[in-house]
Amino acid sequence: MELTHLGVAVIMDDYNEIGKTPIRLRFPDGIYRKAYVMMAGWIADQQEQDKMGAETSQRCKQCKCPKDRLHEPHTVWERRKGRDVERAVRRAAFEGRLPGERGLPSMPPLFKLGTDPKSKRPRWMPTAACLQNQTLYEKTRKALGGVHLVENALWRARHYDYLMQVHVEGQSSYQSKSAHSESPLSRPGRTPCTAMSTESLS
Amino acid sequence: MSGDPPEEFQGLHWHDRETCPFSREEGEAFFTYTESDMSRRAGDNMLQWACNVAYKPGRLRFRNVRSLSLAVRRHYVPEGVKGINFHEPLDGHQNLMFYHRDLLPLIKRLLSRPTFANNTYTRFRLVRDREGIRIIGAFNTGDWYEFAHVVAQKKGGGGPSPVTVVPLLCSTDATVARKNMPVYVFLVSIGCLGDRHRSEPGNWLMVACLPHYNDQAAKNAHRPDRGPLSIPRRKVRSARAFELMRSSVTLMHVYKGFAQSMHQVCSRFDHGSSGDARWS
Repeated sequence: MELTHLGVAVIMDDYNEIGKTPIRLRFPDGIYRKAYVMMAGWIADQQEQDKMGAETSQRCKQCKCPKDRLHEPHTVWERRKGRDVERAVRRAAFEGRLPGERGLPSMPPLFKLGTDPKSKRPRWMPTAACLQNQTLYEKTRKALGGVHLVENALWRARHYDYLMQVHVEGQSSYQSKSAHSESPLSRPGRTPCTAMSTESLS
Repeated sequence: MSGDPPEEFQGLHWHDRETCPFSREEGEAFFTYTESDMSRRAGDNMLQWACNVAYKPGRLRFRNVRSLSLAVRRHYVPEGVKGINFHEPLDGHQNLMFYHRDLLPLIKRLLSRPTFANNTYTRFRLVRDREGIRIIGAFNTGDWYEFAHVVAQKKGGGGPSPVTVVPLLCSTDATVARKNMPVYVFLVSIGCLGDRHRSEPGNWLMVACLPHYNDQAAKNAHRPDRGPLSIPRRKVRSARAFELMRSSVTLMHVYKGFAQSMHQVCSRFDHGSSGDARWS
């Protein structure tokens, strides 16, 4: 799973690079237009969705429906947001804070930002606490609702929320160059997710 | 024409026609020829090479399969394709190359196909019926496209010419190519093609080939079971030790030299197990 996300992250960096500004493209009718490349969707079957979300298969990828009520077809649940998942995973991995905690962190940090020695790409390196205590990882994962502590490649996709599969207002603040210098939790410029926001249309 | 089926079978499906007129031996020979991985040109080359009087088996450049496959990869990986090796020593004997190519040439290539000349979506369209109720049908009449259009205009800085949205659609799936060859493809298409064209498989271009992970090989190499804990435990105990190792240059050089010399020593006896030296 980490391997997949390491690979997809390469493509996502490429996409972010293209999507910085509108570019001039020649369309099939021969006319050059200013074009803005935006990610519109991720088409995959359930196993692939599990893998891209780094989640268990027993969880709805769209809403907060609990596992024992997945069979109810007409019940409407609140939508899940990729940002919330990202924030929870980062807090658990780098600060040792489980969701819902307000006090001191309950466990030592499990991961640390590092560089992959071969590909020279940023990667989450497990700390000594994570390596020595094998059950700690599983406990944390269970507390997060089954999400693996892996850097999801789709978090960095500009204008795209991987759980809601819609546009996200504002830019992703992920910069691959400054990823090491900035704290893993400080993500300035991130506004709350507004899908189909109406004020921008007027 | 001589190659056509007889007249009574002209309009039939090929399942309903008469059986193949080849004999079984001929059919097998033909099947072997057409289904082989080797192209006709490569076969001719190999034959010519083997018929050469100067050929002596001692002069072979490729002593083992590993170096042969490396040479083949050097020759046959297409232009523009870049590879990243994600292999670690604890992954064991497996190949974890991630091949990818740039995204922008693929988008340009899709947009250069003249078939799509009258079928591309370049503007948002608000469609209403007679009662003024909005109809959402084609891709450029929906909410997503409307929102993306607004964002693109904002990005364009409000110049005189409108900015067109190029929606990018991604997809991953593990499939099988050629009967026994699993590939894990990463496909990309653009949403501004017409609805008819978007679902054609020819319009989804492969941007990357993700590596498969062989759990058995990793298990044989004694990797711990936890998936995300993929840093080798023998060499690097923790992230802190790892950084120490990277930062201390002298130690690193000593280690590197040692690894190289060990690699040279080991490779005399065994090519397979020591070829993956991480620091060499």
